[in-house]
Amino acid sequence: MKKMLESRGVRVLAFLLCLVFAVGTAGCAFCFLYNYYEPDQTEGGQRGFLRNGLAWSYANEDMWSTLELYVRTLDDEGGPYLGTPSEGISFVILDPDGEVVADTRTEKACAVGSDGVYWSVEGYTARAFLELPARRGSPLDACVRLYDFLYNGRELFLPVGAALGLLALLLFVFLMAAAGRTPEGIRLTGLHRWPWEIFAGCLVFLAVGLAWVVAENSYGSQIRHIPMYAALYGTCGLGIGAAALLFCMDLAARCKVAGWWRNTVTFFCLKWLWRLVKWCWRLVRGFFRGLSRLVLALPLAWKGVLLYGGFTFLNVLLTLGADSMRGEAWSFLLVVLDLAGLAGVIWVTLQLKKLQAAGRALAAGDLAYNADTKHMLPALREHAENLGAASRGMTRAVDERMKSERFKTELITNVSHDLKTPLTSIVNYVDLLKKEEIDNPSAREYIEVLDRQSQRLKKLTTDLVDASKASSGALTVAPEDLDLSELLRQAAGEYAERFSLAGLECVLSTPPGNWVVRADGRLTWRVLDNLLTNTVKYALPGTRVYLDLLRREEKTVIAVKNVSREALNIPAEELMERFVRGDASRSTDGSGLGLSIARSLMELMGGTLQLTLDGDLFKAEMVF
Amino acid sequence: MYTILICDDEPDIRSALRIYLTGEGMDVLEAGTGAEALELIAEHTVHLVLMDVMMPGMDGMTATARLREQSNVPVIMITAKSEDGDKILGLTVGADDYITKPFNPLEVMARVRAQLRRYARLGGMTEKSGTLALGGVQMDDDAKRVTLHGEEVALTPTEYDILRLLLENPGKVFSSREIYSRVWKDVPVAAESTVPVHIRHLREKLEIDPANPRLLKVVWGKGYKLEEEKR
Repeated sequence: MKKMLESRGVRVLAFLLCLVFAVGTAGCAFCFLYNYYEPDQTEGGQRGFLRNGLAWSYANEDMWSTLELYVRTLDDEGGPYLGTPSEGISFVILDPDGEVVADTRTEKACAVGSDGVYWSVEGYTARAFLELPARRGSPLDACVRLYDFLYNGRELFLPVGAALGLLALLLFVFLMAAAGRTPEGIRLTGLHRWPWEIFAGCLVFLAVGLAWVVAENSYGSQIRHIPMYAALYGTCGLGIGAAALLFCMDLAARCKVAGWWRNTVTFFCLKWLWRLVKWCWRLVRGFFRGLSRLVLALPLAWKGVLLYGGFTFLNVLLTLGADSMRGEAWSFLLVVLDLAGLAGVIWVTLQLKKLQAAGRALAAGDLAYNADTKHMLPALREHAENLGAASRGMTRAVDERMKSERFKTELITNVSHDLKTPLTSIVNYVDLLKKEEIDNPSAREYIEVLDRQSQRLKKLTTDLVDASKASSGALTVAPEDLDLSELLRQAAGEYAERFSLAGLECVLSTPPGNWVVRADGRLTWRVLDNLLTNTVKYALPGTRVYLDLLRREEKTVIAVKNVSREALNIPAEELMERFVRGDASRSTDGSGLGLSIARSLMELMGGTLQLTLDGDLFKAEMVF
Repeated sequence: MYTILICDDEPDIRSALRIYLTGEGMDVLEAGTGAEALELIAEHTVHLVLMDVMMPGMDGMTATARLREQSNVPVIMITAKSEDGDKILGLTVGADDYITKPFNPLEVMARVRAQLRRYARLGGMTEKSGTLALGGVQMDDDAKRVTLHGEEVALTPTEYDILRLLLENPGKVFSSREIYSRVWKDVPVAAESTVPVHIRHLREKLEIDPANPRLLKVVWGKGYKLEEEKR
């Protein structure tokens, strides 16, 4: 079956057969439907023919022209003329009085139908007769024989027509199924590859042409030329049928292929149209994009100038318009435009205010502040986002820093805890050694050095922990109301002996008044302790140490002033860095952390520590 | 003759302490861990324990807490950590005193002696009328005599008056002005600056480590108070 579907020969055969069967069916239907059967028509042959419409039609054909000619030539010289009627037809013409004026009958003349065939013009009546039996081969004879054929086959036309129709239908279905099939699968070949409209157009043109041929030729006496017309109609019918069948097959084949609609002129046209539209759209879009890019790429100042220029131009335009006809409408538009301009200016101002707030927050160290950039102009939004990015970057840096500081503190704390145990042994055994009776003076001197250095190491480890804790903020600050004058007195009392040992005189100045600040008492003491320890260590003996309490710009300040024993060769700021000491002080004991710790502690409590060097005058100020 | 138990995982520190303690005429037992210390205490009569905090196995805190379940022998903690939290924890679990590493051997000896005196006289102390006492300090106001853990302390009249004021109001903070007006019975003008010096002297006489007083405390920026360190 598949092979049959795909074979070209089978298809051509089926095509032709289908065509022939279809035309046959049409012929059968024509024969069946053609009304030759009078109700009482029960016989064939000549008698039957005479009673049939076929005979009536045949007889009727020439009668009108013959009578007209006769009536019009009544008064003519040599007239009236009868003309030459077709072979096998004879007339009897009666005048208005019923007298026979002409008679062409022979003895073979037979009346047609039950009443005969009449025609009347201006009172004259013509009556037609058929001369039967006709001459063999004459049109009348053909007509008689056609009647015989129709009569004899009257029982067959319906079944045969039906059978042929069924066959034609089956073949049609087969052809539809086979359409488009090739051994390589379903494909469009040959003419099917033409765009559908062109192919279909050709077929329609063919069919219409054939129909036109039929229409052009279907005049005059058809009944007398039945074989010729049968051939003509048959041929044209075959042609039209072939065109229709091809049309259907082509349609079937195209429908079987996916995207059949692609192969149509309409589709091509639409496609090109679509491309054209797209191209145009792209062109327009590109133009506007380029324009907007151009405008956006302009520096902010030029944008402003452009905007202002446009605004002014519109303003001038509307002002001019306000003088002309319909001035009210123009004036109204002018007011609307100016109000819009005002709104725009206010809007931009508000955004600038937001930016200002964000910038101020950033400057004040509020890194979590984020400006709301939702409805901002692009240029301003970019600025706001840059501010945000800057603050995020700073936050990250600060976090990193805090983390590493904390890590460092932990490390230092752990290391110094581990250092303390061996250090304890060293301190203890050095002390035991000192108690041994050693005669060698050098050995005793060495033990002294060991003692001093181990004491220094001890101080260093403790200070190290304190320094790292203070600078990383790992210390807890417990602020309370602190009377600084009391604190200064206490400090002076604590250091009274040491000052006098160092040959220093302490001058304490605590003016009466309220010297209460919020600070952590122990931490404040640590700061003052460190400062005073330095003083005892580095002040020039025989000089005075001033402990002052004063107020400066709403702040309370403790000032410690002394005269340095050695010239200080480094800037005051650097003294507060860790492990920085004046060169001269390197040989003395101390960790170099005292001032660093003091500053960190002051900062922890929200205050500052300021050092100033004026020649040999060393001044430390604790600002709360 | 007292028996002291030294508990530390570092043999060098143990032997150094032993040298000092035997030099003072005391018997010494040594333990390397908390568990060992508890065993020795169960077997011997121990009068004082020096306990290191950071030790492998059972640490000093746990050992002290266990020890306190059965004995009230004085315990001095030796700790490398100098944070307040550690000291407070140590005192809370039952230590009587603490020393931070690296320690001064003389301070250790002084604290050991103080604790022993206190332990030996515990319960035998009688309070006479006109006697003020706090944390080992006893003041006989009639005889104008002050003793610390039973040993007489020589005080100047001013120091004595200041100490009496503080002893009469334990825990109360007095500023130098208040002390001046109460002791000197005078209006403080500028002379109150001498009060801290007197307090300092007093502290040197009463405290083992005057820089880290346990009894006569400095409340910085407020004043001074006499207070026994809370267990």
